[in-house]
Amino acid sequence: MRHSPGLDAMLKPESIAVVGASRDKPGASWVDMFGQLVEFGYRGRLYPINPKADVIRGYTAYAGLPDLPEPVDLVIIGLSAPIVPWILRDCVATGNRNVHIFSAGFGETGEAQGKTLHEEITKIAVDGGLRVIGPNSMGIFSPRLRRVTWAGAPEEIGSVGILTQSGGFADAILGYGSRIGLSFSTIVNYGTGLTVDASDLVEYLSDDPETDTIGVYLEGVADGRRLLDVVARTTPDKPVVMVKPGASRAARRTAASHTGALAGDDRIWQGFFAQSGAIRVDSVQDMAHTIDALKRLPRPAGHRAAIIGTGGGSSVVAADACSRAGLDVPSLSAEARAELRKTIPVAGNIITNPVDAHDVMTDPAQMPPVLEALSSQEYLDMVVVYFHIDWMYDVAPDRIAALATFLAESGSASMNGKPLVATWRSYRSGPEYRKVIREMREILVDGGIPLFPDIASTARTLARLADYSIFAASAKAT
Amino acid sequence: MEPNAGLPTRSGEMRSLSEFESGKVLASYGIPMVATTLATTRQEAVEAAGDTGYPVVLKGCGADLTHKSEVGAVKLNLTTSAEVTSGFKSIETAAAGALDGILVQPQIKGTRELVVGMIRDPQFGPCVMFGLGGIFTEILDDVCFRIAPLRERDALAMMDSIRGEAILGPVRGTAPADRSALSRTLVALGRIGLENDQIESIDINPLLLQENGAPIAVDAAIWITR
Repeated sequence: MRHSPGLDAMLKPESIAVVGASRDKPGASWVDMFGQLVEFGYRGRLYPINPKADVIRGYTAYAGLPDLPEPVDLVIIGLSAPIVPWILRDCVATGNRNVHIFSAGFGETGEAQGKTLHEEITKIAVDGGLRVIGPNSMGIFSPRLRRVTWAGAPEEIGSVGILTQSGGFADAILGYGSRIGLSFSTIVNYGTGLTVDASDLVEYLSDDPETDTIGVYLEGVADGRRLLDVVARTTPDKPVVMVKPGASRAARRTAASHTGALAGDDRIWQGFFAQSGAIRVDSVQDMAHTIDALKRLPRPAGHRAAIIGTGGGSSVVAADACSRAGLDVPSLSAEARAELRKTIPVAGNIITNPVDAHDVMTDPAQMPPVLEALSSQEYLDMVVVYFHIDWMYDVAPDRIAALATFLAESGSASMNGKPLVATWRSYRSGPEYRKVIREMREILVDGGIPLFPDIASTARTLARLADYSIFAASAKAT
Repeated sequence: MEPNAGLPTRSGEMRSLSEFESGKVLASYGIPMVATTLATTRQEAVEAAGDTGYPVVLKGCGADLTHKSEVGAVKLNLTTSAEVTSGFKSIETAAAGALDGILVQPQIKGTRELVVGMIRDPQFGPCVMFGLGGIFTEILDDVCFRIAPLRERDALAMMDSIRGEAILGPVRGTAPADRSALSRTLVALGRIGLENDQIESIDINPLLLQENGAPIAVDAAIWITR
């Protein structure tokens, strides 16, 4: 294994220098990278570098890297592109090996000057043995070290590691992930990835004991075969969830001008996913929900789902959504129907799969025997509870929180070790509906029951969970 | 097996090997190729046809002859020595100047047409292709790829991942495809790509499935660089 010890220093630095730290400007609202590190409370030693300042935010400022009292674990460069080669030469000369280039304006521009600069910094970095993330990189978020170089990061420490070429994706997965209860060990926005690329970083997170699930946003990679090897070694133990855009010509063109990446033929990327065991998703939300499902749910044995909800039409649509995503919705055996009939009265309830059961949805006391009856069926691998918010609100507004509370507190106890998830629909406007939805979400998230925003995303996510579960079981068996 | 088996070492731009040269390389890696004799005279062709057994196929063979059927350099289903003789003459006329010789092959009764191949991807290097062959390659574009080297299970998974997977089943009374022979072919194509940097791509279309489910390649083109 080509484990590079240098990445430890870059990912978990004890000291950081920021070249181009902004001078103190009273009243300024914009906070630069150095300011973000200070405000987030970075736990290591910090050195601002700015020849025009003596002190920045209370830290002694230095004129240049040669003036620092020690070589640092990470140099962050926030100066404009044409100056970057000079700073990189300083890094080589002073033995500062790990570099994060924030600046953009290199190869990704597609313009001659940017390409020339890109070649120049590549040569300096390669010849000088520098490990460089960026250019065009927002940097790294490590909540354990209280290190971040962008705004709005949460304080929670978790075990999800994210690697992304796109800075916007880093911010988005952090935002949406936090909203659904995920927390992170590391988020690396490596941008163009001059001498450190996705393969190096996956390999690092693969060995990182603080990370148990990996998310990757990747537009392209120089050495695809190496990425395949690294990801394939990782997936049997740590799931890797990936957004790999570029199925369309427009996306490939956009990727080229974004990160300079060659997005490649999507049919070959489909091969990559099949061979590596990585889980492909299409969006920030799908990545967050898939990771949520992987972290919180037991591994299902197969793709066979039961759905409990209300409404005939919506049950039919739900069954379709499941089969489109690759889930089976098996019909219930006579024995299971008889078992359910003991709890669910005849009037207004249809006992098939999906189970259309008004009474159960509004009376949580009926839920345990129903979940027990479904989860004990050998031919069912998971159960979805489908909240119809508007109808439940009409019956009694407090029923929504009551059902959510039951699921959060004791739903899993009736599941025979099989996954239990929830989803919902609501079509009405009005603050009263938003309020009960928010309550429901908080109760379920706190209780560790994944809640998905709609039936289609529920089906997609559960199908991926089942795919991965089967893959991991067979990868371990061989 | 030797890397580069049968490959001429000629430098220059990308060019295709002749069907005969391509077939030798592929056969050396264990890919099931139709039995082929290169005949340079009518007499040789007639003798080869007799040895092969009728009916036979004649095909013009030359490095620059990549669209044989379009120029009339393919004669199918010849059943007598007289047909072989006249077929030979008409190919000589149709492809004059481009011929290394004329290939004599048995007329294979394929019940289904597949395509397999290898391409060199800028990010992933050698990749293996599998899918529906013949005219369906262009019409349905039902092909999938895997990155070399392939394990047997990667090759088997390719067969499950095309939309037209049912073609590998017992279609209309034919035997199901010999999946393990197909997977050996796919694994071998990946190896050829990894072991021969100068091979840019391989196109075997069609790879026929015979009545008994065994695959056999009746045409192949290898493109090389340098």
